[in-house]
Amino acid sequence: MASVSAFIIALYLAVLVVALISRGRDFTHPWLFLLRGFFPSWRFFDAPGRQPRLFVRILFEDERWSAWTMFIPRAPFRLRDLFYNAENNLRLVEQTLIDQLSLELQSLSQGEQVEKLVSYALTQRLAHRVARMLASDQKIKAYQFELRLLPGLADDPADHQLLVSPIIKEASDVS
Amino acid sequence: MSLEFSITAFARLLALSLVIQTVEAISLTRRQDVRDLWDWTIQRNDLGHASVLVQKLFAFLFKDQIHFINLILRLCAALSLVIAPHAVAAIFLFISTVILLIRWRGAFNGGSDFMTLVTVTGLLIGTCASSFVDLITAWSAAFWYVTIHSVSSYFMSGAVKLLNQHWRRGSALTHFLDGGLYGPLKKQSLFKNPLIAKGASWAFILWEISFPSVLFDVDLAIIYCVVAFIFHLLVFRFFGLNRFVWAWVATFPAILYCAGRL
Repeated sequence: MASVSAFIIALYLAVLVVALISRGRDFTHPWLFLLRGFFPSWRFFDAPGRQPRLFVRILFEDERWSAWTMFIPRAPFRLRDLFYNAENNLRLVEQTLIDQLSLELQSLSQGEQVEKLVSYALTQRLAHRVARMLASDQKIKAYQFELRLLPGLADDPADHQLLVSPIIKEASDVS
Repeated sequence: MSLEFSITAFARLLALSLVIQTVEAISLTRRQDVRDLWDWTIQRNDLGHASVLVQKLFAFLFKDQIHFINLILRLCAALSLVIAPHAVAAIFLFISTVILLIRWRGAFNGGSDFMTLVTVTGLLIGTCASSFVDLITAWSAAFWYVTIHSVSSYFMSGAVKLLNQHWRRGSALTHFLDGGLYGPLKKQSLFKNPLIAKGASWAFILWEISFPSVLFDVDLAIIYCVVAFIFHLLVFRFFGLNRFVWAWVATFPAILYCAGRL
């Protein structure tokens, strides 16, 4: 019995080591992407590499552009969030969307149009919401968004621009 | 721990985790900004490769009213676990979890969704297998399934950090904490001190990679689970990941049952 247990443990550890050595998988098939929960890698906070961030700017009625503003989920700490944290979890899933778009942009094959990506269309909606928030009560004519890779710990300290959207008219959402 | 106590504790902690997640999800269905952004007419293109029948099925499931009904039934199924785990509730929770994963493009809250799927699958194994084999065999299989995933999650999380030089130096910890939901770190934060950051990083790494040792001894498993609870509270304190706390805590009864039974 002891030798069977030892074999099972050794096998289990071998599987863990193989999973560790092989890099995280890219889920290229749509179903695998949607059902990736069945194949968790458990690699949390593994590499402090470049961070994809969404930047938005707005065009006011008087033809003045605002500065680029970074979207980053931030909130004041509240202990009660331990039991109910819908708002912040929503912000976090929005950042996950940005991370996903960044991955898709970096693996976009030649001839593939970014505008056709679901992640792009959803990000445009997110940018629109951020633009409305930035405008507060003021009327805006248009908005534009960018995806930048901010420096991590591993490489050069410059920002990398991954995507610049066309200027999107506020009323019609048509560039 | 006895099997009966383990099943009760597992079912009730899983119920707590599912209720928190579902109440959050229900509250989001009422918000116009969520409907505007996560519009299924856009997201359905994720299923562009699927058959027309499958596309129609999900279009139906993600109608506002049907999605809401799914969440209400999910809440009821989760609450029923407080009384006793039942195969019907387990099957519904499993299907509902998969549907919700697809609604949120694979995950709403990353790893916590994945661990929830693991625990719900464990519940499915335990309740359904009980109809075919004895209770001990059914729930042992369920608890081992959950335990292997939970133990592996700590081990993998620690091992990938051990392989990264920035984690070994401690700078990665400060980097991630600065980017956290409740960040950035204040100037006077202890974690800004490189020595403390390095010490804390190594403490986390060593604790995580040594987690599989819980399989050998119950007392050790209790200590590791207590530390794990504190660890998840710290992760919540800096990153706001409340669902992770409850998703992982729900696996602890399985770990404590399996500990020392190899």
